[in-house]
Amino acid sequence: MTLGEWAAVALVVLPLLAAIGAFVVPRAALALALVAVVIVLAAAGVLVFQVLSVGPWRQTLGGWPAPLGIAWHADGLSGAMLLLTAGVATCAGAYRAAEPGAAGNMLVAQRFFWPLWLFLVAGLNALFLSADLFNIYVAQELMGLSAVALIALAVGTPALAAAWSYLLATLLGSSLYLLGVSLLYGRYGVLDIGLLTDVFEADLASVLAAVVMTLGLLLKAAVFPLHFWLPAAHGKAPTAVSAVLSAVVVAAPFYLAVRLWLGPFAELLGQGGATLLGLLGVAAILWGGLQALLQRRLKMLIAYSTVSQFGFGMLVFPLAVDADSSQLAWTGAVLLVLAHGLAKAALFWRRAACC
Amino acid sequence: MMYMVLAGALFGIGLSGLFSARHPLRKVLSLNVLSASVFLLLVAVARQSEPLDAVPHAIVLTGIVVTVSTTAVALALLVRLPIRGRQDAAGRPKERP
Repeated sequence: MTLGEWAAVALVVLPLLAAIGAFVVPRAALALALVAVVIVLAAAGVLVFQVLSVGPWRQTLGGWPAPLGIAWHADGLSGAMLLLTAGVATCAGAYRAAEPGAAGNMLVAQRFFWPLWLFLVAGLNALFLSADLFNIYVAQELMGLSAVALIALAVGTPALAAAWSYLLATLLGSSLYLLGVSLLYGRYGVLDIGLLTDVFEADLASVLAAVVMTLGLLLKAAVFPLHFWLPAAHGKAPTAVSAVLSAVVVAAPFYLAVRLWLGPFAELLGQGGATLLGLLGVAAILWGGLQALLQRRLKMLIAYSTVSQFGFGMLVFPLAVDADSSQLAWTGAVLLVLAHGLAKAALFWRRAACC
Repeated sequence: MMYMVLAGALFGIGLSGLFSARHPLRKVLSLNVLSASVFLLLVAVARQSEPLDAVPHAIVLTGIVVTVSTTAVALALLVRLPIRGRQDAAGRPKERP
């Protein structure tokens, strides 16, 4: 195995193992978690370096080729997302470890924070690496469930209610996504995104699949008008968690939507899909911005601004229709998501430090 | 084909249940109906190919495990949700939780 392959394996396996370790031995949880994320950060760096020097990279797990087996895939987009995840997760871990008063009164929260947080990192990494639609579904569930539990760790009823509505939203989104995946499998008999891109045709079953999958992903990415769960969930969660939620957990379904629409569904973009997605984006920018202005609590303001920012992200679809500007639109969207992730995480931490 | 129509109908039932149910437990059950309908669709898809396709079966098995986990998390959260007001026989709370 090459260095890149080792790095990819470490990205997923290490947080998983560390999560189990942190759950079994709570005393060593902090050390385990910090060591794990630092290695994950290094592995993401190695992977990005590999992609930059050699180009997109693909690995078939267990040596099984694509129609039956699961492939991992890393290109510029997933590399950037992996690096963002690792960076934000490392900072969030450091923030949490240094948080004053975290050790005292919330024993349950202390015990479960690190395992859940590591599971979240593992789910995100698996999602960004995988090229298999069903594997991505499982990674999404891992990510969603740990995010829900992390929100619920915050003390008080509002956090529980927020976690509850996030749970319902994310599970409905996953069910819609899985419905789309099964429609696509029934039509083409493949689950690999690359293979699907080659065979995709715009017929009834495929369009239906594209619609339900996109609906599910937009619900998870909190794109207007499906954003109802986001402000409460991000505003009520513990600060270290809010940052990761805003920076990467929302970006993950958005990343997947970009993957799908610029991959298999690209054919549908020209047929009204792009306009519709773009209009949703515009509505999200306006509505999210307006709501952010009307908020009285800083944390809610930051949360609504996430809705608005992902509206800007949605503009990638109408821009990508034109073949000339497609590359530029891509780069812009990746840059936006990266910048938003870093800025939003920093904002959440800064807010906690001053108020 | 009949099973696919049935799966579609179940999906509709699950969706309407999720949006119309007031009690959290009913919402969890609706989500379970929703995923069951997707599994039915997958098994129906597997039945169509000749010889039988094993991949959808593997997906359904994994999906069942995932659904069990999500239901467990949902239930664990549900029991902590404060539900104000007593419930009537149909499980509808008198106040919104």
